[in-house]
Amino acid sequence: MTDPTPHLDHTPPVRRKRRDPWMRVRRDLSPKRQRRLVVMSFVFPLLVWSVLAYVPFFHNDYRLTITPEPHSNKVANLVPGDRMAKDYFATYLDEVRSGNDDVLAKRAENPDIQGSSRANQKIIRRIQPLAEANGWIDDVDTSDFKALDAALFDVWLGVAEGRFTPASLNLTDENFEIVKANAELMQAFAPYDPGNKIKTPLLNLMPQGVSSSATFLPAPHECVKAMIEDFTTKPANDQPWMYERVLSSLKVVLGGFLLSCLIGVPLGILCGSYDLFSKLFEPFSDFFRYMPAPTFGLLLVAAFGVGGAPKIALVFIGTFPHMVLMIADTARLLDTKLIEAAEALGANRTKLLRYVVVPGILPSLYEDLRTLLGWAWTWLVIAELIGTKTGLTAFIDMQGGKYNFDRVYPVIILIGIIGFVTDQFLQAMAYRLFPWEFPRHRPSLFARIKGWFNRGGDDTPADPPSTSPHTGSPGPRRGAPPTATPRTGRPANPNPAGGA
Amino acid sequence: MSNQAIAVANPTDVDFPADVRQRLDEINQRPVLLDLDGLNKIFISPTGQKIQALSDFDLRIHQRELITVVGPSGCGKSTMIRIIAGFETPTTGEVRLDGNPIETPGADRGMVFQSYTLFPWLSVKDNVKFGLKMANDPAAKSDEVALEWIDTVGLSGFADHYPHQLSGGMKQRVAIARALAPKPRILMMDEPFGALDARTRAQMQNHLLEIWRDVDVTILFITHDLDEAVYLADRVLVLGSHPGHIKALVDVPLPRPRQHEQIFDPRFVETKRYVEHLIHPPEDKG
Repeated sequence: MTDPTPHLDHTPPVRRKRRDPWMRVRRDLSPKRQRRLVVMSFVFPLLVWSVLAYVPFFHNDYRLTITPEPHSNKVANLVPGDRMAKDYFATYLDEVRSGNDDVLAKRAENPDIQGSSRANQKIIRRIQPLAEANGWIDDVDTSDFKALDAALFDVWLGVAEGRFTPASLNLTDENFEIVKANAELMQAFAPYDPGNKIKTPLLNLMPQGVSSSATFLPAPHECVKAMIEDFTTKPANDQPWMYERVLSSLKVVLGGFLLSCLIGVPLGILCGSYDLFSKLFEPFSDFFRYMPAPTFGLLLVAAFGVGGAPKIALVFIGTFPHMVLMIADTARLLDTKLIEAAEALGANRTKLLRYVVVPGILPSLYEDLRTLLGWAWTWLVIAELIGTKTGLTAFIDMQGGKYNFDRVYPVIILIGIIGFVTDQFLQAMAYRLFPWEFPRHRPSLFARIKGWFNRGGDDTPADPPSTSPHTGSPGPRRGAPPTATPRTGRPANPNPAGGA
Repeated sequence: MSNQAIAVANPTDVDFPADVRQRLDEINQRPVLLDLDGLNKIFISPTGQKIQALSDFDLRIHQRELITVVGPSGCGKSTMIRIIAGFETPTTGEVRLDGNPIETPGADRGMVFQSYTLFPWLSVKDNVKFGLKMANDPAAKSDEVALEWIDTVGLSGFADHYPHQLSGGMKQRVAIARALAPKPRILMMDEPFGALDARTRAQMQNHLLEIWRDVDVTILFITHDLDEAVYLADRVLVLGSHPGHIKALVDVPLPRPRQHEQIFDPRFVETKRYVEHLIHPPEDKG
């Protein structure tokens, strides 16, 4: 070896902070980066949702605020809060405008024309959203139609006279003119008297709306608002509370899944262990799983009635064949050397199954069941729609039918959260239950603390003491290769008397 | 070629120390423990072809002998050991242990495999107890016997560790303890140190000899490492391939206890060269 001369040519190295690249094939990132990315993976979709819902550029619809009754049935009867595609809104406007033109034409022809007082009443009532938005009728009991009509009648006059100035939900100029025109006619009938009705046809308010995201994509805050309302207020018409729906759904999923486990797990293990069971059960299971479970829906209702039983049966049918096949495959993956080792240690048939096959495949079995539980949730949706609709799916079905998608999204997300949290919990449990399967997994804080108590604090399980990292075995220290010390009287054999 | 056809002659017999000669004679006079009687094994491949793995195996292994088996790949080393273990049945012929024919696997024949076959869900202690538990041995109820065995293989203090926390060498020590705990008549080892690095392997060889000195067991040891074969054995069984047959049974002219400097002994080198020539005859080369 040459003499190292570190004092010569000693220029301090240029300190450059080395940045790890973000992308390297099959290399893990630092835990800090990983955590950041995990958060991002949830933030990003939320961000996309928010952009689509809040940025006007992506707005495709109007959320209607003032919804006059259309002149013909070309446009459906709408209520405030409904959404309408921007393209179609023009048709709606034309529709109402042509109706008003019609009225004006008739009035010009015959100034004393007598129209329907009922139609006028409807027109007057359509100003209600404006009155509500500005708090002009806050002290009016809206279930008392007489009082409401009187108040709304006054709103028309008040807006025309300038007594009421809309602060929120501004009227368009066109609508302001209409209000003034109508108020002129209504003046003669003030104050409001239900017995003295205005017969001259009034003009309809023009439709108004605010730009909004598409019907199928309500904004996040609308969903949160709807969710809070749905979870905290007692549902109408004796509908179940939301948490009752959650429990009902859980009952179906877990009922079907556990029933499937009860038979599927032992059968799967037998199929994977004995060719007899494998050939007897697996071909049919393989065939059966290609018959879609939902197609059995009505059969199951006919067989089990309309209650919960057919739903549980459907989840069972959807899960069971997959379970048998998956677990059989898992059982077959057990290293045959382990079985042979056990046989050479005197294990008989039953003991082999109980002490080797079952514990040997347990981690993979657990993993399989975790996956299958995810599938069971998929079958839930169909299961809850057969017979009497129940649970969360019934709620989605009901609200979705009414286009109340702001109420639908929270429930869909809730199902996702239940599944995800269960899965994460089961995964975390797996680290605790099967530590040997995850040697690289950092033991949980709990496990480490337990380890200190068990070993008096001087040892950690992942780092056995007195283990030479080179040979990995206790005994001679490093630097004493077995053949290198024959003449020193210190043979490599720790016990010089070794050998027979 | 049958066993009788090959003389147990050895080119090194010029130089057999008297004590070694005497020891080998003494072994030969011991009762036969394992008797392979005209073993033939024919496998049928998926395409219907017949493959003869073993041809006319005749071998008698005596009590408390340490016999190593070498041979080129395809010589039927593993098939032989699997038949003795009871995992395979011979097409013709019979294996007798203490005169009783072998049909199924049993605790009287311990196995140590090259791949680590410890049960990963059991601690070292429970792995060692496994055989006792299978035999409903009351010793499985307490840790005493298991700890003794763990001590014997030099792993005191590791009883509560799990296999994934051990190195390869330590795992094989546990495997040996586990195989020996139910007190087998014969311990069969199928290239047990093949996956270990050279230094650990050398340690394990000495360690095995040490255990064998203290424990009443016969060892049948398969290896592809000729140094290991000669170093460990009283007799080296040399197999030939296609089909697998017994070529020779070579006596090792080395005294015990064995020590690693013996690999420089001319008798060791001679024996090794002879075995090498049996496996790869010079005319086959090139």
